[in-house]
Amino acid sequence: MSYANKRPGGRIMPARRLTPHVDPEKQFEKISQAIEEIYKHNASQLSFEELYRTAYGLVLSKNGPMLYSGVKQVLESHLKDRMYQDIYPHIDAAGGRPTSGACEALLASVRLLWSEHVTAMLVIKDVLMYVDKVYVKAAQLPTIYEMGMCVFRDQVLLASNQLLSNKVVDAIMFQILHERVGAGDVNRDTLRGVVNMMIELQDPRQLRPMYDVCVEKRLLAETGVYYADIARMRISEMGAPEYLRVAQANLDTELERAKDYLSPSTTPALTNSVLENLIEAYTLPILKIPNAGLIDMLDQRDTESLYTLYRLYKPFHSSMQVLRTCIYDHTLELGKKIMLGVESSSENTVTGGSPKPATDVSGIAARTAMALRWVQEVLSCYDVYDMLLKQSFADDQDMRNTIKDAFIEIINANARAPELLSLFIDDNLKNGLRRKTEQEIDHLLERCVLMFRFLKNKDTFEHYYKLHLAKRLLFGRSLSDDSEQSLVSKLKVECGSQFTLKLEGMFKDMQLSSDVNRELRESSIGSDLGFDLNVSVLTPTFWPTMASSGASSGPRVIAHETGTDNSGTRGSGNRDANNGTKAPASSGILIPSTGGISTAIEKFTSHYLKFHSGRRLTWQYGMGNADLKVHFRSRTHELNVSTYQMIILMLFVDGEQDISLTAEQIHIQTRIPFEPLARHLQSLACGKYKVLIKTPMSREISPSDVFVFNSGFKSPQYRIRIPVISARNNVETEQEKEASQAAIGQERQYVIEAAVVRIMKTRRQMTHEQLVNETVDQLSARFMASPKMIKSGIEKLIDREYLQRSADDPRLYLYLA
Amino acid sequence: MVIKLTTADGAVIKVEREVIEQSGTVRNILNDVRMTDKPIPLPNVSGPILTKIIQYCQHHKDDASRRQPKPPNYDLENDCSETAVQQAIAKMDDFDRDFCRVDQGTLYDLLLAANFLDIQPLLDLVGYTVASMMKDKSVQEIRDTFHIKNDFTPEEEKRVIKENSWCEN
Repeated sequence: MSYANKRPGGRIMPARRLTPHVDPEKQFEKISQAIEEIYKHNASQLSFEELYRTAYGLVLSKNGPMLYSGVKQVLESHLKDRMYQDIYPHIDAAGGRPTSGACEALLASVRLLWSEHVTAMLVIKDVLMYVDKVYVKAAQLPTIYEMGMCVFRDQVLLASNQLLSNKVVDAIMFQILHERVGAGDVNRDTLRGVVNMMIELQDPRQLRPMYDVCVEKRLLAETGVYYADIARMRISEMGAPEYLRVAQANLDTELERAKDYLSPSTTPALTNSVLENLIEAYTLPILKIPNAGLIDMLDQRDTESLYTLYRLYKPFHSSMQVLRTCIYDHTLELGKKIMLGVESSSENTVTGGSPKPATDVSGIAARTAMALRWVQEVLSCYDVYDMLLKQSFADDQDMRNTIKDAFIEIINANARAPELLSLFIDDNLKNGLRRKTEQEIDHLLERCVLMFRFLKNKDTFEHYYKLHLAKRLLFGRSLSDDSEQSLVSKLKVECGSQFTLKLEGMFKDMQLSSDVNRELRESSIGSDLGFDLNVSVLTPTFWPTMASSGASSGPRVIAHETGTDNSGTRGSGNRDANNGTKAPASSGILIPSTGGISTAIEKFTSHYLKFHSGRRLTWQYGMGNADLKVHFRSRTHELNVSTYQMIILMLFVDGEQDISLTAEQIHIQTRIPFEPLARHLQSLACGKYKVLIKTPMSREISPSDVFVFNSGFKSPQYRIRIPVISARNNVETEQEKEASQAAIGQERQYVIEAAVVRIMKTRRQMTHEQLVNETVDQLSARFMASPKMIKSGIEKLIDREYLQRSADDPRLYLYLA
Repeated sequence: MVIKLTTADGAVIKVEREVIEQSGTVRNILNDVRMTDKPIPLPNVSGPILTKIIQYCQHHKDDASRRQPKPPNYDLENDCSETAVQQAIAKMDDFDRDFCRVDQGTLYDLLLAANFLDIQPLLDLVGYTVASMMKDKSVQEIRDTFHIKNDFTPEEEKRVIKENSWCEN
């Protein structure tokens, strides 16, 4: 220790013995006593440094093993003594018929011993740190602290065949049950402490915390039993909303408890146990509780309960499936109810099954109203479900699909769905949008497009929509051009531009026509006419054929006119009803040369053909309208009438009063076909505004009925519109429907054949099934093709030598280039 | 703050806390014992040795590597690995080399004190120094250097040489 021995020359001296010879037993005795003091909370009286040095010395003098095992023994005996003193008295009290107080006492005593032990061990571990560093490492023994934990576990918990361990777990379970049934509060601190002890101690055999092995297993088992019992009781007493609410509350409580004094690792298993017993086991019964089940929740729009239901069912895949099935079924039921409701009230107004004549106004109008109602109700129903989806089902994708499927079923179950949807849109675009805000309009149109998406036979819809759109455009009935355009563009997004090509063509025609009209008005011809002439020039490929006009087909351009006639017509003046036909291949209607109408038609035709030579104009008088100033005895009125009505009225324009004509005569003089003639005569003579007087006064028109100009006509308004029935879009009669179906069927045949040829061209050869399936697939975006139609299409193609049957395999088709 | 240490020969040495906390033992004691003004007794370390050690600690007190917060209990050092030792050797500077130019007695005292006080780098340093004294020496040379008595019997010695002959080449 001094450098006194150092000799010059750097000679190295032997090492000195530093540790004095001391009796190891005595040294150990110091340590042993110190441990006792530490347990008595007297650690501060000790000299840490001295103890450390003592331990150090023992290890250096190769007494590590003795020290280690000695310490272990000291701990063991100490704990044994404490056990008998402090804990055993409580064990008996907590056995047998325990009370919460007794359990608490037992757990508290265990906890106290444990926390004292931990505190002591921390100090001991520090004092013996050298031992840990050197001896323990070399001998590969557990550290002092670990050893101390094992001693506690073995001496306290696992002694006497796990006596205390079992008692402790029993007590914990008792307390938890006590809390669950709400019998009273339990001391959560104690529980937390004991549980933490169990978490920290390792099970000797399984290398997992004792908590996992002893506590968790029991806890999960007892939880399962508890909730199974409760569920059995509740399911017969409570309605679904209440059951669900209470279940959710239970779950929350359990989770809160787990967070407070159990291990976080238990939470998933605990959640599962609760939910399995409360919810999964009763998946269907909950939904089917009479008067308080799923259906009632849906009908009452109980979004809160539905949301709870959704949340509780979500973890279980199979339960969600059951839920979705139930909702699907219920939605279908609703759809059926809507159908029945609408049909039954329409049945009441329409009697018998015989085809109604087109003139039965009330029947058709009522049926149309019913149809509109059907669409409206389906859309409302969808709105409700959409709301439920958002508020209660968190926009769950599977649920959304289920509802979508249900609605597809509902909509396509109504065979007239495409027609009805088109009528609905038509009605809105003509009247219904008047009182709606832009947002509402947009929403409504979105919904219509949605319903369109659900339709299986989209080409049918196209057929009707074209028809209705044409009438709207030609009669200027559409409320808002913007809405029309926006709807068409939405449809385009849905189906591609091919679908909307014709519709857009119609709009363009109208646009071009208004340009032509403006041009005409500004030119010299226009000012000469004496009245305003507006001609809509239509391209036939875009526009649907209008049966009512009675015109022949053929030319590429068809024109129809609306005109304002300012000629004052008095009931006097004889004029000849000239043969005023002008345009080639015209409809054969006699246009009166009075009022310059036929001149105007001529002039327009020649003007138009100047710019677009090579085209032919065919005039469709059945679609036009005119504003006519008519002088009655009391005053003049401006009448808005169809072209035909105008032509009819002008027959009565003459110097003479009281021209009377029979229907037959009118028919001969104007050459208007009888069927539309009857309708127009009805509107003039039998409607609200009787401009003509009919004898006899019946509604039906027969050729012998006599008509006279009603110069005594009175009405408060100056300008009156005289509607004709055909101008309104209605639900089709049976005949009309058959005609439409035939047209659509024909169209479909072409499309099918085209598709088949296209497919065969690429594939070269296919079997019959393959071909049919492929075709159905390709066409599914437009309509549902039936295998029969496809088969007949294939036959036709074979006839026309596009395909042939293979010689080897009759089921195989080959493409013929 | 200033810590007081008492050596074996009764001297009281003052040192800055952060300097002496490089010693695991002292750190441990300071954590567990209530802070009083009483000095910490170190009866198996002499004054001069302690002074030298404090010099070492002073020089190395800013070494970043020491600033790793290791719990002293579970810090069973794995620094027996080659790389750790080699790292330590690479970090040795002139101070360290001078530090070790002392006689054997002092070296051993330093070794024991470093072990007791749990100052790993110092332990490595001195250990390395001693080890290099052994390097490339024959058995007899090592015995001479360290004054180790040969307590083998001739037969035993022959046997041991034969058993270990494989690594002699």
